[in-house]
Amino acid sequence: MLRSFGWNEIWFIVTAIQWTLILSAIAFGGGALGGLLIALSRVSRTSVLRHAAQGFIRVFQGTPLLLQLFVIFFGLNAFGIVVQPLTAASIALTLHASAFLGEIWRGCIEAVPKSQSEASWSMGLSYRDRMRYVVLPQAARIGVAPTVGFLVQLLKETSLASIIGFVEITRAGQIISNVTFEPFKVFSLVAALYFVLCWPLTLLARRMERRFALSGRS
Amino acid sequence: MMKYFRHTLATLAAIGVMAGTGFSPAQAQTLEKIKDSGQMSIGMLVDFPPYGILNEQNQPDGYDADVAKLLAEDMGAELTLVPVTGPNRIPYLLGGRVDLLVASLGITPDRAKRVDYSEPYAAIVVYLYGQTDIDIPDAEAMQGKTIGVARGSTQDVAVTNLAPEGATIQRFPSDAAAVQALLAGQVQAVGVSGTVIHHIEQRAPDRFDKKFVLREQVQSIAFRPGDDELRARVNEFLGRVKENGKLDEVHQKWLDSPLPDVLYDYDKEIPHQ
Amino acid sequence: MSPSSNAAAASSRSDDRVAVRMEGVDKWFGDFQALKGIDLEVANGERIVVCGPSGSGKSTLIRCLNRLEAIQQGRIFVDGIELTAGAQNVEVIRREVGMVFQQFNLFPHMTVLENCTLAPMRVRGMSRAQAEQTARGYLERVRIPEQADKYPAQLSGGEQQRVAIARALCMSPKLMLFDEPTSALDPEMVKEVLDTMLDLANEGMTMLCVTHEMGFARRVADRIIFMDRGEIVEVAPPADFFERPESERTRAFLGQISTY
Repeated sequence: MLRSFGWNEIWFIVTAIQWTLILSAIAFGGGALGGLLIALSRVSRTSVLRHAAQGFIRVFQGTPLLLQLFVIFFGLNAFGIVVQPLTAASIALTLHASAFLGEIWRGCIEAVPKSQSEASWSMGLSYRDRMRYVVLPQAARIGVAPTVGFLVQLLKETSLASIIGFVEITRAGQIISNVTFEPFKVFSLVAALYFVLCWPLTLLARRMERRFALSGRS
Repeated sequence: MMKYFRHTLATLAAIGVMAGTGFSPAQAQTLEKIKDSGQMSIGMLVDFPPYGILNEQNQPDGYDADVAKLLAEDMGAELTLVPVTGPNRIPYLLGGRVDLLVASLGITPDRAKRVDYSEPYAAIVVYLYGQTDIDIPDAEAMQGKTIGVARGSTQDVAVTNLAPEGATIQRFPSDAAAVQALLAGQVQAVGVSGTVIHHIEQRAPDRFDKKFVLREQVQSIAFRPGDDELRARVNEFLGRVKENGKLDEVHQKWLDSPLPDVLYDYDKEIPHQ
Repeated sequence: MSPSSNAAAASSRSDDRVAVRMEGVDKWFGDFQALKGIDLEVANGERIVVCGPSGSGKSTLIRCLNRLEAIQQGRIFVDGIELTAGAQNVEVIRREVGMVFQQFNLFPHMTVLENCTLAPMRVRGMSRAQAEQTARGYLERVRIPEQADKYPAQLSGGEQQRVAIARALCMSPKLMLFDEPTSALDPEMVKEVLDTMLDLANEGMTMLCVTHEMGFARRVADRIIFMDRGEIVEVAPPADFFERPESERTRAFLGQISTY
């Protein structure tokens, strides 16, 4: 009953890409929204917001993603709340990505020279307009490389969602490896698939940076 | 990665216990729930051949799946098989996401603090298995040899306990990886179950042989603590299928061997809360 | 120069001829006192040059006028509105006060035209067409209309500073602050910026300029303010300031800079 590593097995691993992609998309979408809120809170003049954001980052950067997934999926059970795996994974990955993107983007916002804010102030721009038209567009340029770096990392971290039952690429590879006893071939395929997913992201980042470089060096 | 993973498991286990204790009173009537709804969900592994596998249609299959099917049929319930993994199977049970586990769970004192066990329904014999031209008659003879095992497995525990000073233990992420290392000559012997040995002999006949028995491990169906009625019902079922040969039939089908003798008269006490 | 606290009451426009009034202004950076009891009144249309050794507080002085720096003591009125009486007044004042910085501080990700139209559209609520028309008008006046669609990095330093002046003018400010506008420029570009400022002065704009360009001060300023160690040491018209300085500290300063 030992399976050989054939097309059926390869197909099983390849189709598992959908979960890697779905989980990554949710994590990045939710994380981008949450991360922006966190980053803006961190540079806010309201100290309550600053401290709340800081606390959020401490909790979610200071604990492993695996644990967060586990607590949300199984821990809430203890209070009688039954969470579907996709819901649990979406919540945990979004919170996780929000904390990291929030901290990355805070750094980018702070890297925009203070003189840009002074100029905006002296022209009478409101806080919102200053952020929207002056600071964030410049922070975005600085942020492309570290953001894509994090996205690549996030894509690989979605494999941790196997703890709550998702069969994404890594988990599919484990299953097939254990029933075929061909770990070398199986994980070479898994590695190749991750490469196929991550390489275009790196290319995209390079293109965006080049486009930004054309307009507005300071 | 692996280190990070193991470090985390301890914490996860603690949460699993919390989740379990928080929930157990409400779960005392699992048997009633199964009878009322006519449905039961059973957690099983899918990466532990031949007990739990995914078949060619990528459905859960194997010895555990067949035992689960027999049980559901016996109880007149519609069965849902839920794939679980080694690290998350107990949280799945304690969190109420499955009614019981037929997941190749070996009886250990640690686990017995968190789940209740049925009478054993399977047994795995773990051997030290190595190159034919190397003589390792007993544990002492492992000295100076390099032994491969799957990290954190029953065979890892056994080899680690028995190995004398001077033996090198190499831990791999899975049995598959350990066997790969044996085939590649990176280790001289591995600690593996009889089933795995069966696979290796098909692929590479006469290169290796069994050296000695490391451990005999019985496996049980697992329940949430306090599910005594369900446990009694399952034990009654197990007694019947051992008696009428149906369990032996399934064992022959998946393991090419009769049901091990130890399962017919298991005399050791099964820990129970 | 008779600051009366009655006239200063609330945000009523006490005197149309007074552009700026500072009363007993103290400013600290931590333990360091940057401004010590500053009293100053600037009339509408007046051109003031502020000079002094580095660290004397001259930049801090003008940065207080649009609340880039907060003060700890005293009161400031701009255009008759009390800056130091609440956030609402600050909002009103900072859109009426234009500022030009040493490092230009143009927005690098926007074209020249976009730099000039952002605030009029967002703050004044102008339409894009209206804002662009205004901007092109001011770019014409600073003599770089052809650069409207370039990015700041494609311009020379002198051109960038002229854009910065045009950008500030697009808001039709009542008062212009210049914080060492030529200090970061290569020597051959200083003149084009000073010429632009001179044009502006001739049109009657109220100006406060922190600068080391003494030629410009002599030619343009109505009064020169000399500061040292956070204090206003001497205020005088250029002729008196350069020919008959009263204070020993002023004489020492002038002695140092005229050596070259």
